[in-house]
Amino acid sequence: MEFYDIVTCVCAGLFMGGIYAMLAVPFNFQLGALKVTNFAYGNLLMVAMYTVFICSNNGIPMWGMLAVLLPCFFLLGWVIRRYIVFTDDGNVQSLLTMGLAILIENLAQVVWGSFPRSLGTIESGVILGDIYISMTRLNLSLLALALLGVGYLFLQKSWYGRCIRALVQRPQMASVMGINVPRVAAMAFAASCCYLALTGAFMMQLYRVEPHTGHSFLTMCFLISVMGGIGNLVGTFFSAFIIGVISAFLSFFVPGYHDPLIFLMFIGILLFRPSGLFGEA
Amino acid sequence: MSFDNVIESGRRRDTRLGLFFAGLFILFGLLPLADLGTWGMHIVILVMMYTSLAGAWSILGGYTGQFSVGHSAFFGVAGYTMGIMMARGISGPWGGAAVGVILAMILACLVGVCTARLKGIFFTLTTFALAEILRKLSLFQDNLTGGPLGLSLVLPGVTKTQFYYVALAMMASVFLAMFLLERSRFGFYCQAIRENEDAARATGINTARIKLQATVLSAFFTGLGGAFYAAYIGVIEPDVVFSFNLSIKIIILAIIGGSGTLIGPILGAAIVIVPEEIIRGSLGGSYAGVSGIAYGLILIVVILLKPNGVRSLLAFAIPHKRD
Amino acid sequence: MRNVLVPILAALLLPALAATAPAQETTRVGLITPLTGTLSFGGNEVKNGVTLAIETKKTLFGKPIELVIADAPDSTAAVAEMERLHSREDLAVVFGGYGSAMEEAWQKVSEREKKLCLGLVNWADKLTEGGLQYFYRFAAPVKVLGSELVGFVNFAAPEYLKKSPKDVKIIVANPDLTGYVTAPILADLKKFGYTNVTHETYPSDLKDFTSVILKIRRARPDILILSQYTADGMAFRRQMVAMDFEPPILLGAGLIYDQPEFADLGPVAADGALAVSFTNPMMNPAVAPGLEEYKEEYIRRFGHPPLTHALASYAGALAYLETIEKAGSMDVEKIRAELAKVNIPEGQTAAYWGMQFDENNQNVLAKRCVVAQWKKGEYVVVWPEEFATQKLELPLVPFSKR
Repeated sequence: MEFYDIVTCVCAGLFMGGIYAMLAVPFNFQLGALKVTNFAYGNLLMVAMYTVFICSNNGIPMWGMLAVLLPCFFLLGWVIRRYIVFTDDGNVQSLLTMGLAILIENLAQVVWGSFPRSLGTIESGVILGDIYISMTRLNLSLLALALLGVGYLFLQKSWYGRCIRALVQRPQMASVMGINVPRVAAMAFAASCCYLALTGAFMMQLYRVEPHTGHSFLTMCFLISVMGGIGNLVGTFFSAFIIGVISAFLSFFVPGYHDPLIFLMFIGILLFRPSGLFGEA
Repeated sequence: MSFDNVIESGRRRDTRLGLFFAGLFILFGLLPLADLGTWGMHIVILVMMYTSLAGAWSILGGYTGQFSVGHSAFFGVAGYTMGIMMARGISGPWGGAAVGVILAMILACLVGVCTARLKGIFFTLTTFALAEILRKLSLFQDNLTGGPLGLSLVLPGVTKTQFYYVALAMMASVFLAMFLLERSRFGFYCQAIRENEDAARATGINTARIKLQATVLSAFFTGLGGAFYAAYIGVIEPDVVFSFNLSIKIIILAIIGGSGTLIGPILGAAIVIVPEEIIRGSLGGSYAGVSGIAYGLILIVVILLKPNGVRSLLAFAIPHKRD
Repeated sequence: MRNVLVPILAALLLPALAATAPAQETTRVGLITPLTGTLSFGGNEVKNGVTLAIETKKTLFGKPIELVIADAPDSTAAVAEMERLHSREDLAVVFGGYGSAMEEAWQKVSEREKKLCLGLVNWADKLTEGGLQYFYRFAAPVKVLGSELVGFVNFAAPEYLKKSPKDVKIIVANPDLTGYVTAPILADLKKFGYTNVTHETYPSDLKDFTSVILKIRRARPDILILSQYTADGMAFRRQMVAMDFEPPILLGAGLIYDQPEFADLGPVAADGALAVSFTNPMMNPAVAPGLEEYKEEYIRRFGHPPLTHALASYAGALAYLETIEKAGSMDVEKIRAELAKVNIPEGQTAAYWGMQFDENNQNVLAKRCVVAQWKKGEYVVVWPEEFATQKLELPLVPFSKR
């Protein structure tokens, strides 16, 4: 492996990591803070990707599409949290999200068919000798950072963000303090679903969608969340980059064993450091 | 209420329960005499197999509270072992099944030992990762496992009726295990762990050992189901036997019927599998995918309405412990 | 107790008790194929092809043909559905298509029931490697695709690369799902003296192919042979374009590279790629009577040009139906006797392939494949000459120079 390869892999890993972060941090938020194990997360992403594809095929520009997609996903998240997954029993909740995942996947199959669809976009990249840097991924990654940063600042600084944090840390006290817990929880969930919509738009620039795409993304989310520490948003953020880089190197050296090795790493973390590399927040 | 009355009512309850299940099994035993046709028989065999799998999961998930979403790992290990051994002529079906089940139990030991200290979601995710590792490995290892095409088994001369009674015996053994579990000290410890693991440990129960034993017991029956599947369907492909969908399906069946109960698995299997097969059979050709949508909808609706399982709907009919 | 038993009983006995409606005077044949699940895009093509075949043939034994369709998304469902078709629907003949592990499962059912499973397009080698008497396969197994591909390499390497076999650097890459496709290719390459061959595999749901493409690009192959699947093919090609990597010869082995959605990439990205596939709808209509009409009808009915699977299913179903007509009835043994004798030469079906079965019930006259190339965003057959509609253009031009 040459120096050039190392640079390319590291860059590819970091860029992918940025996008993974955009995917995994809201998931971790749902998992740790809102205590919802959302097995339908991957499939919701798939729906977002399909919507982006359809809008794009019908000539709707990106801005118009987002203007419609974001409120739709917000509403979807709200409905899910408020009316479907409102129970506190973890296992029942998992089953509900599993049921939702199955429903969404089969609906997608019936409505859109099984063939993978992708936008015609080609990534633009920079090739310096033997080093390859994808400008598209770099830009998306930076955008992801910005969006996540906005979300983080919102949580830390704004009044509503403080409500959410109060609700997460001390639900009973928050209720006593006058915060409408179910409604705020639903809004927080819905907001994290908006990130899904955006990630869907990002993914369609790079990748393709078919009814079963959701599953592998969900797996990635679990992996990154556990590695970062469930409930630890910042930890998840950094784990996404670490996983991205590890993935890039694994696919260079031992692509055939990429998945089993990543999963083994996953199990290792679960066994020896379940609170994540960065500890629980 | 005097002490004697409590014991007496417990014995009466058990007798009623015993009679109920005896009746159920006699019904199943006589069913092949009715003219169901091979498709009808197949559906009943599937129901029996899934009941066994759901019951097996329930031993660990329902009674001991360890929510595993990777049970297909045990299923697939047994199935593949049987397939590999028979494909290479190392043994016949019974030998292959025995070795397969033993390997599943060894895997369960490994899992149990490693995850002794894991709680809740962490245990769940470990089981999930395990099944996925096995699936990916069997996709790539063409020589051993046949890759994505899987392995093919032939059991010449075995009739459907014979498979039916093997499945019935399997289902009966799972029921028996659950029945005995409910009434044994081991089962008592399991349920104590389910209710509150820390408190259980505080009272001196060796929770790690009990969990390990429950995992191995659960894997035994799941492996049995896997070996049966391999023999009956005759094709073992990684995207079925190690799939997440299978793991979820058995959980769904167990919980819809009523987690941690005797009647739960068979109720769940009857409610989910039968309509799914019939819908796919009648509508699948022209409206493909409806059965999958129905599956998801049934699950959501049932869980929303009756999170403790459908069995409570039939509470007045089935003898049960007072909750 | 009745409250429990009655619903369970009803649910269980429903299949048997529900009476079949009295059949109109039709001849019934079945079709089993994955209409849902990961392989459903192919399954739907098979269904379309068979539907059109039935409409072309119109009658069997003087009565209109009724097609009973079953959906088999995986091997468990495959068994259930085949059982249903053979026993409840009482079908002596079922067409089967597209789904290798499923095909293994449902062919066993047919064998046990002693009823016919007439395979249309399904390329796993082991399906016709012996022992089965009631399963027939019209389309070629993957080893034929492999040997035709290597045949093309034998033609193209000296012609366009001006190199002898031992000097040609070949890389064969495939995801975990298509190892069985590249295995015969690798074996044949070795047989013909190509010693400089490397084999790369990767997981099919990899999100970023940068590392994999990087490694391949570094090796500077003369020929890159890709057997990719729907999950990874398009994404891989897009990243190849982004990384400006186009080998002098790029061969896709079936799937993705010969499908209309490949055109989604746009002409700059798609052009140049070669695809080896079973005889396909874009070949010269002169060699395949009925191809043009079939293509037009297909586009009119289903909105897109037929894939290879649809063509093979159409031609196969028609050929089978004609053979069954000769048998005179749905008697399984009579049909098998006809199938043993059938000899439709090449060049007489819409898919060019003929029909003649060997002792393993494999159609030995399905032995030609075609190589097509993407030109100006369109897919045209370029080799061999008698199937070609346009000329082959090699070696490929790097993306940056297009």
